[in-house]
Amino acid sequence: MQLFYFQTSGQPTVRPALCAGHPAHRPGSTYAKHSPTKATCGSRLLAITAILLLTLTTQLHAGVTLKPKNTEAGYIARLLLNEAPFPGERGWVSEDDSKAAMLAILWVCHGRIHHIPSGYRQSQIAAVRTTEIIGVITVGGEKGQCDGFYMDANGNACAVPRVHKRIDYLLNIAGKGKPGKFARLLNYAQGLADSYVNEGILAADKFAGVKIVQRVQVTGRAYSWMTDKDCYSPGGNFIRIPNNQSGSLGGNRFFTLRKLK
Amino acid sequence: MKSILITALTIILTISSTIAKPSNSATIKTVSEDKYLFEVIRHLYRWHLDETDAEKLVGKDEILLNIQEITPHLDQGDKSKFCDILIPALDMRVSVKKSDYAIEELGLVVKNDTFKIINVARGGLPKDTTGYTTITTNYKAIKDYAHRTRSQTRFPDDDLLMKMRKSARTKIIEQIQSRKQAGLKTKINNPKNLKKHDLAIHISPLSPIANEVWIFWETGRLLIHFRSDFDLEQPELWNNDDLAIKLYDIDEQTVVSLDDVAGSNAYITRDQVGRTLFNCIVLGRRIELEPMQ
Repeated sequence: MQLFYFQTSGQPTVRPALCAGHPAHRPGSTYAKHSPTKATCGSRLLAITAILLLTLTTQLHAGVTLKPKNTEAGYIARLLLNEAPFPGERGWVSEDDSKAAMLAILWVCHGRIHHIPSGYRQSQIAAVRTTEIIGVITVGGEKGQCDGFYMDANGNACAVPRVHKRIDYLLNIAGKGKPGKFARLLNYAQGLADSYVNEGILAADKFAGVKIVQRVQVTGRAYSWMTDKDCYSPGGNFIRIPNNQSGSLGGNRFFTLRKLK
Repeated sequence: MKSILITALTIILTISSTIAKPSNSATIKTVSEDKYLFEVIRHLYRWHLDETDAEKLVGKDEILLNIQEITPHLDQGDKSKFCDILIPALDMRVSVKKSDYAIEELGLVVKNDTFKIINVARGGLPKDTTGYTTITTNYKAIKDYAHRTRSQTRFPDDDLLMKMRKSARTKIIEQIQSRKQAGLKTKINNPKNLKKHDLAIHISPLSPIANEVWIFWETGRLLIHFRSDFDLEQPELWNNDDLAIKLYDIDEQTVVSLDDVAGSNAYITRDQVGRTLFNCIVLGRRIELEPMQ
């Protein structure tokens, strides 16, 4: 199922739905800022209900606020959190390193939409044709491009339960004592996602300038990442960005693309 | 007699390990010790190397290793050490870490007693090894050690094993229940119907130089990967094991080559699965868990 959303121009665009409810009604979604033509009921009651629902579904812990998982910003934040290590986890190096991993992952998703290199088609890189980041994240189903993030049978963007369980666990730890690294990392992910939804990515892509890897001409930017061990490559024209070009962040290996002639 | 012994000892030491460019770094010294390097090679032998790798070393008397301490920017108070071990003959980089930091929120200290392997990567080794400490190690001695110890295994003590069993059982039940709740496919309809033999798991041996263990659940055809910065034998880990787990459905997530699913991070190769099953089933220990009450 796909829902129609209305942007400021009033022209409908097709966007994948997020779990439960119409995103146009949700504060925190890009589309909530605009006035949806059909949904402009003018009803204050509806607005109050929406705010109450948002409050109930937003995950609030001491010093940490995660947007609901059924909002665009909440969903993106959960992807970033799922892919970056926290203290004690394998791949942990430092707070800065995990934050850099989150930013680089967001750039990969963004690049798969807006920076398709010359000679490539989006479908070759992202396995989908879409202008929506949710479409990039969920393509391929539960075991798709982003493991555990998928569209359910109703076209709702969801994540497997273990993703939410880990995030609940992280939130629980973050709520112990005064806000520390856990809280800062959670807030950073949500901040990145909020900025992305509202204004775009505010920080630079550290891989944008990568033009040569091991004497191979590459396109610049990262277009894929893999977690855990990197003794295998993601295949195709993906080229591993080596350590001396900061290709390893937060226990993830990032990959750029071979430049096509 | 004494001089003969000294000469023999000198020869043995010269053969077993020659540090070409000695380093004063305590990290380099620790990682360069024969005992440690032999364990690294044994780990590779068990988890990464195959016939094609062995063929690259046929006829070689020595293996050259380049070792470098890595100094990433760490958080304040974090005293962890990192090191890369390059094996040019195998085009392989082994990254190791000795964790030493506190998790304030949990009131825990993550501290390893030795360097642990955190990554093994193939390819992309630097041509210029300026700044690395070069070590030449006797290949035959390494090969003999790896061969001699290829079936040697070590498993957790009863207390830790109990924690692992409990954790594995919880993860299995949670996996089934949560997937059912989410409307996702499950191989098991009702975890309450699982009998003891349905809950047979195979645990891979512990490695002294890696904080990871694999568990294979037969009936569910699931691989459970526990990996952590904590020493697995640190009891506190098992109170926080949600930080340490990744699940793989071997039917759905195994591919011959990642090229089949280019760009996706959801899959493991048949080669990886094969090695893991070998370590879990052939070298590992079979345990039956208590059914869900």
